[in-house]
Amino acid sequence: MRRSARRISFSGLAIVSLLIGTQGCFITSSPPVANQGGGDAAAEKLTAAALKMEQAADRLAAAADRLSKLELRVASGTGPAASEATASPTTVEAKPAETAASSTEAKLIREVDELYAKYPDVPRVDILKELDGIEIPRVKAGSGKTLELGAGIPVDVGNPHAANKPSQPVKGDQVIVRFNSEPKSLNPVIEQSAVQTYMGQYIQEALARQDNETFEFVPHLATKWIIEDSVKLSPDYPGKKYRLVMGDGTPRPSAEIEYLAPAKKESQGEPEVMKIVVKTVNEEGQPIAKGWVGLFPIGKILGAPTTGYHNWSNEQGELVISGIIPGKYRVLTGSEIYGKVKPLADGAIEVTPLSEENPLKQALPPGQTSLVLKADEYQDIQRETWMTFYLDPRAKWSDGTPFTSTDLKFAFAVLNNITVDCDAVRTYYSDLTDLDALSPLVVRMRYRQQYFKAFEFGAGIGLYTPPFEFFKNRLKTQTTEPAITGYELTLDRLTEAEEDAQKKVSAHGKRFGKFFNLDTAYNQTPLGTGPYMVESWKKTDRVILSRNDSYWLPERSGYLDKLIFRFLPDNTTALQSLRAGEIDFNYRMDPEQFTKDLAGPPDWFKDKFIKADWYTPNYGYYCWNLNRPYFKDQRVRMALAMLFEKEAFLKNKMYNLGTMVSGSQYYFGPGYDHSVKSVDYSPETARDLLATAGWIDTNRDGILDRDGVKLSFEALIPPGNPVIDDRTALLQKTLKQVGIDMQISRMEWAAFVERLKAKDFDVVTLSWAMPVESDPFQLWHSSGATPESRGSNAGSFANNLADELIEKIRVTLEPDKRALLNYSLHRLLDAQQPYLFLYCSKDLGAYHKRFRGVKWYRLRPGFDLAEWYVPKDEQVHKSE
Amino acid sequence: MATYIFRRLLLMIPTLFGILVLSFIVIKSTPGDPASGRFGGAAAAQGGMNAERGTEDAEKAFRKNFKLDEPLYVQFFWFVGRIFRGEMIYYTKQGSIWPDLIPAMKITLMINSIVFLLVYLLAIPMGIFSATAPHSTGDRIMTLTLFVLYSLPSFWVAEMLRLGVLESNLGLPVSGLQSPNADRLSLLPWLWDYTLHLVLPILCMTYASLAYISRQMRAGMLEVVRQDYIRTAKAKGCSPARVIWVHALRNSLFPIITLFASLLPALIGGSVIIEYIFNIPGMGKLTIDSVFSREYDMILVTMMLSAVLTLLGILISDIMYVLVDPRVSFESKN
Repeated sequence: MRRSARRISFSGLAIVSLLIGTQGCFITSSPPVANQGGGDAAAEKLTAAALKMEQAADRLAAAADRLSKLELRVASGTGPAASEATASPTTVEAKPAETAASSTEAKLIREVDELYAKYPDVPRVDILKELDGIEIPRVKAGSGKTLELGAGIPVDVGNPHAANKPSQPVKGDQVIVRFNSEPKSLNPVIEQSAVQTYMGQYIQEALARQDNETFEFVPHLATKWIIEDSVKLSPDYPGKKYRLVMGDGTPRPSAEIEYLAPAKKESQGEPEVMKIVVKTVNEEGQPIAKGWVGLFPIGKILGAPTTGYHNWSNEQGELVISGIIPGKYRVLTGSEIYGKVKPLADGAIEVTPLSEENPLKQALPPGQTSLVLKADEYQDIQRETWMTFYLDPRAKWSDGTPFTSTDLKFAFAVLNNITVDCDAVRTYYSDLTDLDALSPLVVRMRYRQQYFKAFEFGAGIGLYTPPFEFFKNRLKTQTTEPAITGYELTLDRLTEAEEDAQKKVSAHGKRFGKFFNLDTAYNQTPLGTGPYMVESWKKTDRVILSRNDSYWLPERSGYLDKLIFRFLPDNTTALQSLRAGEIDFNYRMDPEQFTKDLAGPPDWFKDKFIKADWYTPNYGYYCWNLNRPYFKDQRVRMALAMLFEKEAFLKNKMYNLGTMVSGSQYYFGPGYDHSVKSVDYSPETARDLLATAGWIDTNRDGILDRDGVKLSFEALIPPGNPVIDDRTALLQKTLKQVGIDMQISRMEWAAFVERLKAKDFDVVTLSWAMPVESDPFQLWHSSGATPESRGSNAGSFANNLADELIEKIRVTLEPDKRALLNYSLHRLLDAQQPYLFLYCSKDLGAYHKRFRGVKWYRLRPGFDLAEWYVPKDEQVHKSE
Repeated sequence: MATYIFRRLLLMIPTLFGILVLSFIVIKSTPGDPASGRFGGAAAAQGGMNAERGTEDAEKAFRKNFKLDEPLYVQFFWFVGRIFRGEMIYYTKQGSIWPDLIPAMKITLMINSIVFLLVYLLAIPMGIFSATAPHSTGDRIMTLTLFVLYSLPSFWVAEMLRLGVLESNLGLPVSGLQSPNADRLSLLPWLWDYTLHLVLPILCMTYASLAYISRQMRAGMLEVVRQDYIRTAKAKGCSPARVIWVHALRNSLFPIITLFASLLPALIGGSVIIEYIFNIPGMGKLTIDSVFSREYDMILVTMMLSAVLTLLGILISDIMYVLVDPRVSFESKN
């Protein structure tokens, strides 16, 4: 699923740009496979081997020859030395321009090194300089330094009309925006398509708003929040003794279990999943409701959280452990308190309750502000998992009802109602274990475990909050679920019989879930707290939002009377509609249109419209299936990376509307290591590297082979994307030149996804859209590398160091340290090349020049129409 | 006649069942399923997918819910059961397909009715004109023009027309069916706005069929005018107009009647290309989108609808043969 970058947290860290580190290299190349066999076969292999050696020698000679020529070129100061100079740094006399660049580089290198010095426990990974003695060519272009975050984003860039005629924001007029697809529903709980999210940002609001420029969280529906740490006391803590009861019925302070993988049965049906029942009890054996049970891996269990699984028993003190990663675990229990944790000497800690609502505050003796726990008095700390939000008393829904903690509690019930069709959001919120309304304006949440995105999810729940009062009223008259018409909506848990007896319907229940999925009142015209309201939705054509003139936060109110979103899937139609004045803002143009069709620009465009391009978090890639024998070899993958003319393609086919990337974090986000330059195009080096890896054209048929296997594979590409078609054709051509045969297979989307998920491909190309800082777990953790796993690690990348880094990234809350962990992962991915990383491409659009206040942000979708306005004398659509 | 019609209608049941089974197998044998639309959707194809969180469990639950992992026969009977109850749903969003299908069908029906009316109103006289003066200059010019039109691909013509409209500032709308402010218009301006939006798509859809139908008509008429009884009619001094309109026309309609069998399903079958280019929310767009997102119910319902209409169309054209030609009869001759 996609998430709007606006919902994504990271504590305001200005990006640190870095450049190449020089020490050593990180290599995990596989050893060459020895030839084995007998008789004729052996003789044949010997001949082949001899031939290979001969060819390898040829290549080496050729390489030496090239090197000497290169030196010559460099010495005489001519020729395209810039891209090839890396071949022999010692002989290169740096040009003045390069000196400037390298001094910036040196500075950046120092910065990373300082970070490594500051955090010695972060595994250090150096940028790969050479592989099997062959130097890795790197591009020189694009340091990324010019594009820092946090800088004030200029307004009305490229609009001379706006510059010549200064104006003040004023209300009135409307904008018609083109979207290329239509959402199925406008209900944010059951639909999270990009288009729904983009429209939803004017309707639904979060508790904390992410600033478009700094990416920092600022108060919104909540005026403030207090974040505290969770501490689990030891089971023998005086007055709070906790015991576990398992199969045999004996209460004990802790236990060890072995969770077994479900037996694979040949017969049909779901495999039986192991279930372990645990009870939390006190000393006397009386059940303790909502008692903490922690499961901590004994030794290393792949994919299991190193910080443990955290669960809480139900009202009866029971908990069923199921669906965890198989392995041995220590099971712990104990009372839980929370507050700000400060480490003291000898493993002791000081817990200070910060929020007034914290029960620890009342429990402390008068005059005492904190509790000191000795090392043996607590068993586990999870940082920043308790969040108390204080809602703005002014906040209200567009129908005038106040926005309260009941609405959030309702949201929590709906998101956890398994009948509600919101599987994707539910996955996100599965770790938000509790949400309590402490008063109409105070809400407290608990996140399951320490996680750098916990706050983002907690604050983001506002975006998925349906209005409680609205649904209460709607139930009185609705006909979607006749069985519950006239029933009163409640947040209590009731069975269907109880519902009927009390004439109430539970938000947790099946019948409400079904009603919620199907009732059109909210699905088509959802109510929100935002600056705009849904006026109407003409299916297959447009959604009209109108300004909420009684918006609770007048200073953030929109200017335009209406925001109209038209659904025009075809790019050509969209451009013609712009020309005909049927739309005002053509969002998502393709590069060809943007540069070729609007070259000049043509007369019809010149006087009326402004072109705009901006970055959003994304990158394109080729993913090698590492289960294929030829892609298992790091040298082959690295050689393939050298066989794509990245720079040339970016310039010629993408018209420089993008930037090259070398890792999987957002180029402008905090996790991107700018010191890692992309691997450069260099067929000669690639050829050498392939030869080293044993890939030589022994039978002289034009295709490289090794041990009788040809280097021939198929690229799976999705339909309807000309840029992907072009780049794949180019890659095919350059691969062909060194003797690699790549066939292209284009499949329509459903079939494409099926093969992708089944890991049934050699190489696949796509792009990822991600948040500003993404959690690398889904993409790169080895738990997703199994053939059965249908997750995002489609290429089956598995690397122990990567796993360690990823697990650390998830639980590291300190932004600088997490950035450094991300840099290490970035360098590792660059060295391993599980993907051929391509570009972060720009989003393109054109809009009418009468609009002012236009800013292009570096997150998705990149514009905020609530800031756009039209000066009074230029307004086209007068409000009636 | 009544018994014949009744028998034909009864026979349609096994035929339709056969069509249903075949369609079901064909659809099911295409790779991919609705889960890919839901968990890696077509919208995501354009913007890239998000790697943030796994949806594997959600996908599993989804597949279970819609029996996607069950054996084919289970899925088939589940489908058949629902089709009798009218519970046709979207897989990717729970909810009925009818609120989308019926408006799309109305739009397509409306557009196609206009197109067919125009086509027949123009093509029949054109065909007759060509046939009455075969190989005359007029016939040649018309034949050539029609063939040129027939060979022009509609997407190109649509694009050219649109460019022409924009270049010449005709003020004709180039996409959609209504202006944004259509809601606020009174009836007549609203109708005018709607009509303007229809001009380009209808033009594009009409011109190609024109050639085909008029050639059919010409051929039918040419065959009839060579018959003896036409010569007789001419010989007894009938005016040429009377020969054509009274004596020849009825018999020359045979090929047109045959075409009628395909007219009914065509009425609700939208033109994918034209609808896509002009952004018309008709059946073509709905069907193709459903195919891409593997909305099995929607695909099967539209297929079954065209199957029913095709069978009915064949039946109606058979009946019309009887009405047009007294020599044709369905009554058994004992």
